[in-house]
Amino acid sequence: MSRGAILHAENVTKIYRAGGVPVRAIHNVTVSLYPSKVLAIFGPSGSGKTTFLMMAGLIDVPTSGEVLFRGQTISNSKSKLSELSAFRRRHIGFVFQRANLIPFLTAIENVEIPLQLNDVPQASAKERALSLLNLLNVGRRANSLPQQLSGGEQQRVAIARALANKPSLLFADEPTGALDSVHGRQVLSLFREVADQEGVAVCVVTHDTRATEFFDDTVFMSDGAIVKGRI
Amino acid sequence: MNLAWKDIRFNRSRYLLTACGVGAIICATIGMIALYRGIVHEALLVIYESDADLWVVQANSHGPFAEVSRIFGTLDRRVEGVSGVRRVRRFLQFNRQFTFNNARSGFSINGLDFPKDDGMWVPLLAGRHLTKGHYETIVDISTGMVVGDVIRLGRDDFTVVGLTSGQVDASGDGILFVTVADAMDIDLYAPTEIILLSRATKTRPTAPLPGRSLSAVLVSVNSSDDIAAVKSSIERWGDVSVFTQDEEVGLVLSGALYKLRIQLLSFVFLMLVVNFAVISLAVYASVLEKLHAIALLKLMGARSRVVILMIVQYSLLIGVFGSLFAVATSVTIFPWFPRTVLMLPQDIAALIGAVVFVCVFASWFGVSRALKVRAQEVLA
Repeated sequence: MSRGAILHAENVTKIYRAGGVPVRAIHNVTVSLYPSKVLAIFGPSGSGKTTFLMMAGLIDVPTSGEVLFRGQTISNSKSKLSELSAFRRRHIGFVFQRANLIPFLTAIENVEIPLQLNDVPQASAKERALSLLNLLNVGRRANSLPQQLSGGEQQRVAIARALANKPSLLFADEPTGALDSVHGRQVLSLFREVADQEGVAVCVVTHDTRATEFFDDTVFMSDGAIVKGRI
Repeated sequence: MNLAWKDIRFNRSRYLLTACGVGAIICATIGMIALYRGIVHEALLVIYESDADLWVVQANSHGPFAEVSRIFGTLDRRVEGVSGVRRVRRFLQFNRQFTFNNARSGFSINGLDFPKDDGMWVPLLAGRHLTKGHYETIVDISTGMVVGDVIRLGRDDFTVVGLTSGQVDASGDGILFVTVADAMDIDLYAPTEIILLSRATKTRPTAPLPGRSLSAVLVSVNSSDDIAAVKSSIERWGDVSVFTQDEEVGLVLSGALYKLRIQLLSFVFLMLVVNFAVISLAVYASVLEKLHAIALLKLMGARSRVVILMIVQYSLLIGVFGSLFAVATSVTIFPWFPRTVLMLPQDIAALIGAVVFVCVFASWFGVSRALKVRAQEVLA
């Protein structure tokens, strides 16, 4: 494992069964994430980027290989998903291509959710949520429902939600995919700030290679394997 | 944060429609239970208000409420001679159709053994109790009459001297209280033509017994210890049957009302099943709509109980609002129903308890679907 890595995926392989036929989604992928660093994983559709994100983000378990957190094995083929959810709740934030806000909650309530799942008192949760929304320039829309927000505002709220629990890891799956280039750059700039100011290890999965200046490391994937990059 | 409440806030109209639909079913269920209670109340009203320890009725009959009972009009004098008897009253009750204000209505004639019983126990809304032996009546407000009205019963005109309420018989007909002597006359009344025809054929027009007959003789004993002894003494005569008040109540409940009770309870059960189906469907549809949000909650590490609680609370809130709507509607509309609809707090509480159980059980389908949702589905 690379020294200083907060999360290290070691020879991670994932094989799905589609109609009884085994399909290898990723094969022997080894990647490390470091505090205050932004890692970008590039690759075309179907290259296995999202599958890797699910393994590293502890949403699914690998068929072989393991995922280590601060040097300790946290996920391998024998891990149970139910055990990983508690870890995700405390340490990991997610941002997706679509904001994926809960439609029946206001912006501030969406940000409060992960805090309340971690049993943070309501007053503190509200205070933290509002400060994050203000930080991301959507504080004035705190009481708006997702359907009343623009795409860019929704994505900012989603980032605020991902940061609510002060995670040590932030995974973003095509976070700029649904945004125009201006808003896309703003989002990537936010990730850069989060990494620099909060010390969060950020992993951005994208097929957009235009804004590489925001990333510390880049990895290229193709056909489920890393074909190029500095690990 | 109560996610169920937030969801309801977002989908307010749909929730209200669902809850009102459930409430309407609960309201109908309350109505059926209350109607049954009302029928029982009406059927037992005279038995309880008469406050007799023993009912002496026709031999081998279960009268006078479960079937017709005819006993000699002078039987009360015989009963008075039995040791342990404190008070004896003649009882005669029958239903007749009478015309009043050019409208034909069914009334129940109840004979009071005046002057031993002047009907002081009858609660009055207006007027007074009986003070004369003939041609006065106290009527229930449901008959539509008021104090001072005159009604022809049999061959005589009776003046309404008192107005009461809630005094109806088992069929819901308003009671007209008259003296038992007048009630006997009304009971025996036959049009002149029938009498003439009967004379021609040398048969009696009515009256299975010689002279005037009663439905029952009501007996009050000196002390409750005497009830069994007095009952046994009278039964030895052989020409009558004797029932205690509890037995009389039992005859009514296990006789005429038994099938009705079974039928109404079956309907109540069916209504609860319908409620179960409606709530299950509403909750399941709501869960299907929230599958993505549930997957997202799981991705954020939500424990299963957070998701389960959201669904069960949603279901319970449908039941709670539905119950409130049902109770409010019932209290508003049932008093306007023509028959007594008796809503007892314990019945409503039991029904709401059943609805809560139904809600929890109905949310099971939604919960089982939600628990199958995987966090990965957010990325799908």
